Amino acid sequence: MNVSLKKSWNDLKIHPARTILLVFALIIGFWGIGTILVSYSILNNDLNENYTRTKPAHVVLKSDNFDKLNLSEFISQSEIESAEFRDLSMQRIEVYPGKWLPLWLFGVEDFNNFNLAKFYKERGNKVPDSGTMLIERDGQNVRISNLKIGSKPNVRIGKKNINIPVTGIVFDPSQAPATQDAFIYGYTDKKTFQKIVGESANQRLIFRLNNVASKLQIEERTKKIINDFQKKGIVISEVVIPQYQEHPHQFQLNTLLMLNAAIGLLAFIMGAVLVSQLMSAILSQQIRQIGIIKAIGASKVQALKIYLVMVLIFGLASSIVAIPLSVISGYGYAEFVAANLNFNIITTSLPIPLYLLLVILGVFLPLLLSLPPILKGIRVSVHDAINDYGISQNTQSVKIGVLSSLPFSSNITLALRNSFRRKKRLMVTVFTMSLGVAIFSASFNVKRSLEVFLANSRDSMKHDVQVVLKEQAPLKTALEPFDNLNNIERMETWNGGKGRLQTDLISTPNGIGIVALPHNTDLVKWNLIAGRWLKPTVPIEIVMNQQAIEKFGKHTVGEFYPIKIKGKLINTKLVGIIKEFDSPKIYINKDQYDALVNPKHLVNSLMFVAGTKDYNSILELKKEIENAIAMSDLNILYVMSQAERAQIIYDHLNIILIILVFLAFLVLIVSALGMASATGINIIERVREIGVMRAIGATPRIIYNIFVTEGMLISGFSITLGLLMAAPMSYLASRFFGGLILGDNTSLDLTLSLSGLAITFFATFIFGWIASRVPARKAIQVSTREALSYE
Amino acid sequence: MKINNDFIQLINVSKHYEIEAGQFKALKNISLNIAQGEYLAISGKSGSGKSTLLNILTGIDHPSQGEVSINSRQIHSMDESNLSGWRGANIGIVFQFFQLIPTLSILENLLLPMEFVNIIPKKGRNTRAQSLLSDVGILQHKDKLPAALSGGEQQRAAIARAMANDPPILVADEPTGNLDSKTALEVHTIFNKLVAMGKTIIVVTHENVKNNKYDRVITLHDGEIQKA
Repeated sequence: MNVSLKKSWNDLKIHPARTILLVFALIIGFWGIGTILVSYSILNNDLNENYTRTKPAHVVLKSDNFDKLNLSEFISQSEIESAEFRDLSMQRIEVYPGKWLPLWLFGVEDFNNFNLAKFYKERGNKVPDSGTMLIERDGQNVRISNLKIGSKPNVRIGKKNINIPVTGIVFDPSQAPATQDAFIYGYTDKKTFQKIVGESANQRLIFRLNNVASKLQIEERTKKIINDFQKKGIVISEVVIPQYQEHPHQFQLNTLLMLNAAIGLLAFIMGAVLVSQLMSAILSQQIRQIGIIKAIGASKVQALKIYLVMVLIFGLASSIVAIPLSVISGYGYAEFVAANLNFNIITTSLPIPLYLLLVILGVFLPLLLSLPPILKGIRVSVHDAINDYGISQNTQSVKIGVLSSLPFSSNITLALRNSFRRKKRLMVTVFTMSLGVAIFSASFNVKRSLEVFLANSRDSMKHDVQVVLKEQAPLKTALEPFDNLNNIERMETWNGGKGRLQTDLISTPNGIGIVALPHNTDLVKWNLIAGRWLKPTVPIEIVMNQQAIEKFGKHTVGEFYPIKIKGKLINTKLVGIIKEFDSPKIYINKDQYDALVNPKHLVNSLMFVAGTKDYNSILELKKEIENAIAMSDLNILYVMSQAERAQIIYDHLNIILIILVFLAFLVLIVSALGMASATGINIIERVREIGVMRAIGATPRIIYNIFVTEGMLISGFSITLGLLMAAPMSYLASRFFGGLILGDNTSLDLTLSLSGLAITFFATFIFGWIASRVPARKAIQVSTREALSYE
Repeated sequence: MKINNDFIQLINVSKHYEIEAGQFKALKNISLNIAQGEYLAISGKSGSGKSTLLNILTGIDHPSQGEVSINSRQIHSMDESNLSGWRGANIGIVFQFFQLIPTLSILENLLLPMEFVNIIPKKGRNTRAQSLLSDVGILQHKDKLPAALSGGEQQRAAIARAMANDPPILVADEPTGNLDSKTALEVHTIFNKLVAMGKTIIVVTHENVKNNKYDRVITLHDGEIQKA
């Protein structure tokens, strides 16, 4: 090793504690950023890859006349990539004694040979025995069911219960997670399907098209296919065209990835400031040595090399630890998200460019960022460097008069003046810390806004239990089974179904939920974001939720929109828009709906309001309702209590809330490290000054107090500025995340989190205290003699 | 050997500093010739301008006016980058507070300037460094860090370092200021040996110097050379 390199190395060894602290700080910073980058790389690829590998269907068509279709001939068409009949029937399954969930039961053609909409065997049978079924793995989660291989759950088919044994577990990444949507997915062979469900098979055709790249192209081609079918006498009753190559819960991942990216970027900025500050700290100690080495013949480049090597060692040391840690924790984080969204991590090796990026971040970025302070140090003339005695007489432009007139103790006054000695550094430190405070605080505000939104969603429905019928029934028939139940204060009935908004592609509309309810119902209290609620006027009015608005791209309240319900085209006036966490829905006055398309006043949704509303009473009521249904002829789609509905919504957002606070905490730690380094620099620069103060009578306690007070002052400045920055940041974040979760142009109502505010205050001061206490303790351990002779 | 009497030439050198009270003239029209192999002392009280003069002689500082030439090289017009290399090869500097690199051993402190200037062949550097340490009597301390040595030993190490690249000129700023009289005498003995070897030595001191120690003594007062 040549002597220059040895000097770099020895400079690091001479203060091992400081070097370790510095490398530790860098490791934490890089680790945080690395974790975000690694997980981003994995997640960005894997959910979509999980989904697309299943070769999801481009189009789902339902018809009663598919017996007229020659499937082989259909598949042989050049534009068809693959096709098969994959029947689907919505039933109910008993997941715990007395607890029922919707069952999506698929009738599968051939379990050994999928051409599209694949799923994968996990355990048990690959092909279910006759009369049995496989279930999707997420449905096994104890949070929603006790199903496992060997279970023989009751399945409610029409008016009877049938035991269908579970003989295998499959993984179907193309479905929305069962735990979040509270569904169970079951798979049987065609014969069993027919036998159990009692419906004829081959009524649901799924297919993929060749050479398509967007949903629009699929819609156009599907329109032509449907026309061809009509010519053959095949009438399509339902068309579903999923988002092209997009998992049903992609929105959650998009939100998480955006969170990752946004907070990662901010953490990166703070990490950059940290590196720069740390190098300033080292350089501030080395100024005189720079003078010496230049005086004994070193050129600027040679001196620069010495310090760049030092940074390189820091970068390498921290990278060696931080990069593997980042990979491990990035995978861990991705696994956590994958478990929540029910997909597998399939990235086994990270892309080379990512490793390169990590190396650049870990090794070369510190070099780049420390270049300015190093160059500044190297530029100091030999004359100035040799005359650097450690105590700067330069008071800069601190307004001593103002500060001295403040009624503080001498310790606080000194701490205040010291803080302002290096105004640029103070600004950088306060800005970094306040950015951390702002992100932390804004995260709590967004979290609170989401929680308020959840609470509003829960409170928007005043019923306690909802029963949705699979088939519409006359009012009397629907209500009769529940006549003698206790604890029912009142009932209300709704109707609805699938409708179509008139688009340019009339023949290929997507189904949209139509909810027909009394205009004056007091069971709903929607969050209206535009216009007003329904009135029984002519023309017929509708209210849409924001998802419907986004889906159809029309959102002018007061405009008329034709909707097609049960084949009837109705011109309706959009009078209001509501905000809710639900699929696209259109609300219409039930009387008008009945007059138009429901002359027999059939109902399909029963809303029960309980007399006693405590949790156990509601559960008891739900059980009684289930029992009444079991003894009735009603064909039920699902029974759900409000608590369960709220839980489903919460489950969709919970992962976002957890990650939000976790990332915010990470940012606060990085910013606290920035502050610790700044305080460390202040102390390093003033060791000789500390010696002078000790020599003139300052006790270690006084010195300690001065530095801790400085830290507290910086924390105070940072909190003030951070909270000021948090306000606009929270507003923008609420708009942004509202748009991601609820749909474009929909913001969350910003709510201040008081507990978040308290945690921000507490955490910032604690971090500030620790960040100043550690170097302050170090400072008072130096003896007066050592401090005075400090180089 | 032909002695070059104009080896170091200062012609009308002035140095001004701008301070809050106005302009401070540290040096006023100094003209000085120093011969090759001369042992010169620059004395004066604190604030007389001697350190400024030394800084200008070594290229550490630039004159506000006038010319400085060393061995026919106009150093007042050289930039910092060129000066560093030139200085390393031509001038050895001994600082008042030794200014050894605290993280390097004594031997490494001598090897460092050789590495910077790169005029001593690599193979011979270690031998030369040890020889220089032997010359100043501290070879036994070669592997120690500076902090482990006494002040006198550190100053000997600093002198050895100054001679690392075998420069023709050695400049010492208060080299005995922090040493006891016995050690100070030893330092002068080393300097005398170097002069005998043909080195030009310029020593800055605030002491009342005796002429018999040096070839010549010039005294500065308020930035001007006092006439004897």
